[in-house]
Amino acid sequence: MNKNLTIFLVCLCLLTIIVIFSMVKKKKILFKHALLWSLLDIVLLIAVFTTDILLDFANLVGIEVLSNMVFLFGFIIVLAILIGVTTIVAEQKNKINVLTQELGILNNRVRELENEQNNGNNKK
Amino acid sequence: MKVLMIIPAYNEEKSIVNTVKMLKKASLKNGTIDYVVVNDGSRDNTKKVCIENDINFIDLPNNLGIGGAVQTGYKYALYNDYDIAIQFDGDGQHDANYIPNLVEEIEKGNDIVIGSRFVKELSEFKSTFIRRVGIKWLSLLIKICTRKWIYDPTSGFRACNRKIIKEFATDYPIDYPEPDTIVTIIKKGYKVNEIPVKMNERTDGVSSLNTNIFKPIYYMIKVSFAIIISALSTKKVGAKDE
Repeated sequence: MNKNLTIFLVCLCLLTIIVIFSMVKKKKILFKHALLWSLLDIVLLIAVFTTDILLDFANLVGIEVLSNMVFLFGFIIVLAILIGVTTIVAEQKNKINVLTQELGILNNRVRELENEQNNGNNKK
Repeated sequence: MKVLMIIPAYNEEKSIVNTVKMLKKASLKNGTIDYVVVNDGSRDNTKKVCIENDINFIDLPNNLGIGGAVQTGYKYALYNDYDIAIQFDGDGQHDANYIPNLVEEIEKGNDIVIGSRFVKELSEFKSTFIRRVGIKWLSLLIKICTRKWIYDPTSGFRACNRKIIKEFATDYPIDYPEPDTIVTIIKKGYKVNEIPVKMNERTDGVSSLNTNIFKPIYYMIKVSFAIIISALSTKKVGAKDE
């Protein structure tokens, strides 16, 4: 691979890692999700230096142009992460549901107790 | 026999007072009927109306959808130790005179009893052709999945005993839950029965399915899927013990 391209790609990967970690610091993303992203980043970084092996692998699975294989796998990984994110959304929706329901029931109980107390006070 | 009427209400400021009045008149020979309105994050004055009229209500800070609201009622029934919980619409469609009939069926040993528009042609309930076809389709799908005919799978007028209250309090689908839960309940091996009831035209408000053309289509696809998934994923209760 062209030297300039290698330097450019490495810089890009490093920049991404820096951005991810600064986001963790500011608590904009969770640590466990940051790990996932930085893992992906490290894989890409390794891929930059192992193009020969990747080429052999591409030939093995029958993909003629290396970039096609990279895009294919990139797409698959992004899809997998997206599916992961939708499961997180579902999980959070469930939690919000439970919280909303319990809060409503608790509110009802508080009103009930307040009424009982008021009635008691009135009787005194 | 402690009976709880669960009334889910979303933007029902006009009809909720009358519904509650009707329920307060209802009585049982051997039991008490309480009610709870679940205000599902209404954007109108449902909450204010409830406070002003001293209605027992649960106020959900978010709009959860019909399933989430009804489940709140089941949780309330579970926490307050009710024997029977009956779902009852807040829009005046259901008739409180049939409550004793539903309770009687539960006492006969059924786990869940559905107040049905179509068992006998009791009601003059008029629905559109499309709607009838839709309901027939859901009936057929449930028949295929469970080998049992349920003639009115979308009916929201249903009574359940303690076992089902506990089931529903733990797990209940969020939106359009009626047909879906019937399949789950039958598959789990509980006894389901349908009795004829009369339903009125809704007095106020708009059905959630009448807002545009795509909603009913989306509803049918979604509910059909939900039924199939429930049928495939539900195992008989106690099957492990045998």
